[in-house]
Amino acid sequence: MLGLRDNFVLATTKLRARRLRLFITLIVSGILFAVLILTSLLTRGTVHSLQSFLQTGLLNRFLVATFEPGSYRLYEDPDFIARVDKLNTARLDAQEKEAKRLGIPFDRKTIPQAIDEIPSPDGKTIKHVNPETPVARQVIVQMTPDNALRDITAMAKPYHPTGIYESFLLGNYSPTSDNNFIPILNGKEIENKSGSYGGPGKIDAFSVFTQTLTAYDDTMLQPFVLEGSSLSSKPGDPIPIIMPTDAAEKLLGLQPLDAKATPNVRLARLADLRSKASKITFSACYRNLAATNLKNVAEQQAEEIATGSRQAGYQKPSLVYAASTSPCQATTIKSDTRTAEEKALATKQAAFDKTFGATDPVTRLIPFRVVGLVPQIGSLTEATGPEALISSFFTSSLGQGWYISRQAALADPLFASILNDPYLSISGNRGHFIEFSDRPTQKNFIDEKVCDPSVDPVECSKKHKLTAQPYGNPLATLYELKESFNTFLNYVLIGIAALSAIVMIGTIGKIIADNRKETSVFRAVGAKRHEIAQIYLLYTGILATLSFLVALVIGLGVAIYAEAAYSPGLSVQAALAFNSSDLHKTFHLITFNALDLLKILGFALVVSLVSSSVPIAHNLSRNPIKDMREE
Amino acid sequence: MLNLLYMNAASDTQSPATSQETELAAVLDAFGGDVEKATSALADLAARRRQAAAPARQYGPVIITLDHVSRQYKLGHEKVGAVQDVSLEIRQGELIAITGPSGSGKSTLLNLIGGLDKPDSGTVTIDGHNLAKLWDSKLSEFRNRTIGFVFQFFYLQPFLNVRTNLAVPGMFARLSRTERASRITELAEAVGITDRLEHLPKELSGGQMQRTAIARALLNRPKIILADEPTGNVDRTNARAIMQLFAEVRERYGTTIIIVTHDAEAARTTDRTINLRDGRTT
Repeated sequence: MLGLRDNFVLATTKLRARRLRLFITLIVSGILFAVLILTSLLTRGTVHSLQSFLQTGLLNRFLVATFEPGSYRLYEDPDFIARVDKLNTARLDAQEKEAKRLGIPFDRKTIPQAIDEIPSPDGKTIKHVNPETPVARQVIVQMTPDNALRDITAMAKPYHPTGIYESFLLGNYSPTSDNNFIPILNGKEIENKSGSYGGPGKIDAFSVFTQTLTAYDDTMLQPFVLEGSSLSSKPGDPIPIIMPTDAAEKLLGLQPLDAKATPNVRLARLADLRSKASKITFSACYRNLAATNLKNVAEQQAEEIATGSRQAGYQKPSLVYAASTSPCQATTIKSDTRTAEEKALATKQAAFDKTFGATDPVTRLIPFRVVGLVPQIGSLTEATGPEALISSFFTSSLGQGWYISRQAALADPLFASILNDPYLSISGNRGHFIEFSDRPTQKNFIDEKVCDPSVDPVECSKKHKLTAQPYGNPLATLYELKESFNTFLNYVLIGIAALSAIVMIGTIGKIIADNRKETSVFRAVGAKRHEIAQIYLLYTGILATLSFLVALVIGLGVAIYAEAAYSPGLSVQAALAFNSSDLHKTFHLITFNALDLLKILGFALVVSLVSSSVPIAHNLSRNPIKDMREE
Repeated sequence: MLNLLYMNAASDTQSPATSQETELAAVLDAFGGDVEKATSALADLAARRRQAAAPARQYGPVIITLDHVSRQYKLGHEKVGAVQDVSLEIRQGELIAITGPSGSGKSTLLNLIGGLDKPDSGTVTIDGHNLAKLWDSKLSEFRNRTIGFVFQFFYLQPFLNVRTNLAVPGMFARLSRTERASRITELAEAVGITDRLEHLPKELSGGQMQRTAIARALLNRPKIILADEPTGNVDRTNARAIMQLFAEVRERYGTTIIIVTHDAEAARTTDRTINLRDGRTT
């Protein structure tokens, strides 16, 4: 065995030959290995920073969200249709009978039908239940046992969940729906009658207040509560609310930032909003369906009267309601010129309606207390550049909208009545969240207990499974990203190994071929084959190490440049995207990992040694006499 | 100093005595005025006289034995007998020239003796070892310790200085660095390259390169030196000096030296000449 020092002396002499080729080899293989080094530095840095940012919000929690599937499965159920049909007929008969008794007009054809007949493609008709009708709702509640929480609890039990929480969408999508929450800004109700939600990319928070107002269990909201604020409240106190940043801006009278505002400006704005948020006073107006209808009648009458008063012979309605002059004003009667007979008929009609489920109008001003801020709806998809990449992957967690404490809401009779509404509970407004201790358990639960009915309805109906999804992180947590990245990295490794092997084989093969004479001389002076192999293997190792050093310089250079160029912007963007509690936290792009660097060095050595093995073996099998003679 | 010896040898030929002038005139006449042939004949004569005048050299035991050795090579579709049924014995301390025309099998014979090649038939026994029976690694070890090779084109490592070039055989012999350094100093002085030790081969003259190659061959103190055309790539003066150096090496270390050469003058300075023609000794 050749001594290490002697081996080194003989191996390093080969570095002096073919210098241009050696230089090109070092640069090319250095660049290839630099890709690996850069990947390691950036991946470690990004993952480390993400993990640091993921400590806030729900991104570091392992949640699965499941929502009541609604009653759509019942709609084509013959038993359901038959029950609705029967109950509807009985109700109409009873209404007809009661109307006759009271002496008020009643035409069953003018009543919204509980069952519609829709033409089918084959020319026949199919029966379709209208779920908005009282009868349909009644049967749906009867036929849909509210056992969601029990089922979810039983299903999650083997996975030892750390908690099961609830959310409830309070408002409704249509202004004519049961519960309507209208935000008040600058003394005016901001009712979105036009259906417009704001400019492209960003949605005006006030326009979607009633559609997004959701009550969450405190444990879900807690990570979003601002420092110094609290979710707890006493009955009668303003309800704690978390609102989008643009709503806070409007309520504070701040001009929205320009779309081209720098991340630093946006961060400063966020810091400003956070510091002032707890001082914001904000109210919304609640109206039930009866109050909303009455308000609409008053507004229509006001329009008609304004138009009609300019026309000759216009006669005002005998009963005129007063249009609101102040926000959240209950609709009152402005003038009543009805005859005694008309009034008596109206009284009878009201009694009739009440008998068959009509509710009294309810209008109530609800004061809120701002305890947290979430990004403006749609704002996270607007950024460009690397910041956008991060933002789009990791948009926060709770979502974007308006959130109140479920516990605080339950202490208020109005909210409690909505939260306990049996029909709303089973028709998709309520959601449940199951929290697990770690990602593997969460994943197991999803793999085993969750199915997507839009993908495989048959499978979903056969097995006792949930319609659910991971919650908190759109990428189903960073773990999947890591796994995907590892797979990607393996392909990169194979590609780089192949390319660098080609480059190495070329150079090492050439050097070995150049040194055939030298090998022959060494053989003549008594070198054993393995000693010559030893020299070339060390040479190869030195070449690989030099390539690695070149790669280290290139990789570090690019990484340091990337850190300097992008880290400040990313830090700001990440603070905004993750709604970080610490707005000055740094998002480092690079993190050194000695083990990774050693692995890459090892990889470079293995690739080069494998590349050199064939030329070395070929060289050693040659006849030294022939090689000397050819020289 | 070996240098002084070969300087004297060179000056001998430049200062002929009066009797030699007379002899030259007679020989010139005998060769019809052909100066080259006449000079060569005179040199031959002088060599024979020196050999006759020299006291009979006492050689050691037989160190090289070739017994009916044959080696064939393929040239295209034909087999050519490079060495055919050669048998010879060489004793320890002999300085021998192997001569013959190109393609006569001189280098093949040298490679067979050096264990770089194996005979198709016959046996090569060196220092008691039948080379055919040695495994590759043992053969390498044998070459490293017993044989020193000197090549026509020197084959020094171009990127190693003279000192490290000299050390190479010692590296494979696992000689300690101290021992190597000591031997290098001794050999450099012996071959007259002490002042060139830190130079690269490209900074040396042809003669210096060959002296370096000889010193390298001697580092492991081999019993045998095999030199393939050692004077083939140097001028006449250096050729003589190199042959003188071989003679000195033999005197100093008792080394058996076998030189393959085309150079008749070089051959004349040896103890005996083995002439090869078509792979056979003549």
